[in-house]
Amino acid sequence: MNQLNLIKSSAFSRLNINFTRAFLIVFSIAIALICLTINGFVSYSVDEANLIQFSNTDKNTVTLDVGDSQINYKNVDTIGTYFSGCKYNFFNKYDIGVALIGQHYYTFAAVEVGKLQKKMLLPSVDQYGATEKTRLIGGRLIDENDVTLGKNSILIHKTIGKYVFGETSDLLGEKIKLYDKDYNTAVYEVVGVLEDTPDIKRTVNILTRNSGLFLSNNYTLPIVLSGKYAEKVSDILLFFDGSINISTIEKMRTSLANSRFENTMITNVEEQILERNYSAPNSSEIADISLNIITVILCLTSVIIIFFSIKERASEIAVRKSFGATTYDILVMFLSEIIACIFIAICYALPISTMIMAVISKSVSARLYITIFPLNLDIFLFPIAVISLTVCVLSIIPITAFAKSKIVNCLKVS
Amino acid sequence: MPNPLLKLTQIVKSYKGRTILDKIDLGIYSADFVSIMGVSGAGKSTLLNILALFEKQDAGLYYINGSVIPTREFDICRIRNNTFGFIFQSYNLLSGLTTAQNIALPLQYSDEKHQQEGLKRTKELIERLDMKHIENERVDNLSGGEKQRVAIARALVNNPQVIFADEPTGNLDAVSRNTVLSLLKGLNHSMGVAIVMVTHDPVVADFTARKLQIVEGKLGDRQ
Repeated sequence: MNQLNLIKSSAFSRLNINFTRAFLIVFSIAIALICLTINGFVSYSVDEANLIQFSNTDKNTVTLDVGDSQINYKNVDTIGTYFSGCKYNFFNKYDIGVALIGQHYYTFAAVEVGKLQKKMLLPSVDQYGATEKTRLIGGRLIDENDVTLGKNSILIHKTIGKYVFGETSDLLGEKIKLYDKDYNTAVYEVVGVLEDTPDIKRTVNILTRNSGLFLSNNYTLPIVLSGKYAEKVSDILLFFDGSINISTIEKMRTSLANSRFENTMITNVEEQILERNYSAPNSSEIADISLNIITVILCLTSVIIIFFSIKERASEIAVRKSFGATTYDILVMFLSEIIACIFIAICYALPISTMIMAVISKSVSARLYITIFPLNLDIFLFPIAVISLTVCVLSIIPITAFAKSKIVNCLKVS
Repeated sequence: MPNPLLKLTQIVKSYKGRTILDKIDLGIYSADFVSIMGVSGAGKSTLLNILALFEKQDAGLYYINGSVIPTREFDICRIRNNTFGFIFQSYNLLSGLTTAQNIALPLQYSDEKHQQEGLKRTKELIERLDMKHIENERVDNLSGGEKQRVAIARALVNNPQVIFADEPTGNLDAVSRNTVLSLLKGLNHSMGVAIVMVTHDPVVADFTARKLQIVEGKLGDRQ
């Protein structure tokens, strides 16, 4: 053996650790990490959603309170968080998507498609463009006059525009006539074209699959027409002024006809909505408590296994102390082993928890039309910090006790 | 008469009201080979533990190289590392490590200079104690006699002035016992290291130059 490595390798006699115990320690910590990470993911989503208070006043309307403002939304079913260009998008299954702008909860804009009420179009924050990471590539942004003079102006993303009006259209000046559920109409003129963003393209793909149209105005956000208004989407397309692409319309119609948003279905859905309780937070609270309990149990299990590992190696402590090891040396030796176990556990836990979160996210997306991106660094860092510190701090007590005890006592224990 | 390496003066140690060591005076000199005998519970291991700084005496003074033993943990650890070596009855080798790794273990707690010297000595000891063939063997696979030779080499690797051996042949058969004792005797002669050995076996004690016996807490020469 290389002479230089001899001392180092004897220092790492920690490899002498009982592998079954080491495996159990790693396993416990890994599962605890997975639980806490998923818990963090669930809590994070729910906490974010709970930043905005929802109350169900007449079982068919949800009141959204943000800061001093209050808006009622009808037929809101399940609330979820969608982490994308806009920081918060609240979708429901059958109705409209509502988004909050940027990083400011109190400055937001929302559009209730069913009513097309311009008063609902509130000015957005200046940072909207930066938040959305989008850029105007044609025309202009909606300005103050549009709002004050009551002009029906709208911005459209390039992809959406080309999809709706055809590849040859320059989009600016195109008219979009929207119907609400009472067949009141409003014509919006495209005054600006926004550059496509990856998020938008992706969102378009998701949303057009289920609804049909995805528009955007400068005040917020995507306006999503879906669910019960999907029926109207086809009308909207038919009533487009300008050179609408017939094949596109046919395509959309076919898509809509095959979709779940048929009249009969919608009726049933509305009945369901009346009976539905908002149970998502309750479920997440139960999950929260359960996962926390499991985490605590597993952390304690790890510490108990560590304690027995230390006890089992009392003779090693005695030998090392008799050959000159200080309490500090013993502490460092065991802690480095524990940290190594934690590191291995992290290597196992993070990919597994990411996969589990992705599965949950996919499941939620499929059921609720909510897209959740779990890869938020905070979600991973917090459990790692909590579990590492807990295990290390709790382990220091028995390690110090053994390291400080008399050599003869350690020999007796062993 | 030279100054003793280790000197105990009026050492008293009691357990649960029972006096185990009663005003013991003892001097261990360089190149001494001392055996301490006594019946079970007589206090021979307690005396060895006090000598090895594993335990503190209730009363009396303990000098090492003419200085009173320090109180700081760090200083005590330095003495254990640089001045003392230990051989345990049950070997107490670290399983999972090789012979060489076990021998080099004390160097882990030495300063850099001692580490370099110790690494050379590791190699020398492996050859001298005829362990070349088991140098890279895990100690779990060794026989009792081989294990004790590894333990002896480990005790010697830091070139200690004194080696404390607690029943070093207690787990060995007669052949291995004689081999180990001859080895200790040879090392005592050739390296000049003092050896203090606790045993209850008169045959083992006969290998040593000085034979002491504890009777009722008092230490005396064994006839």
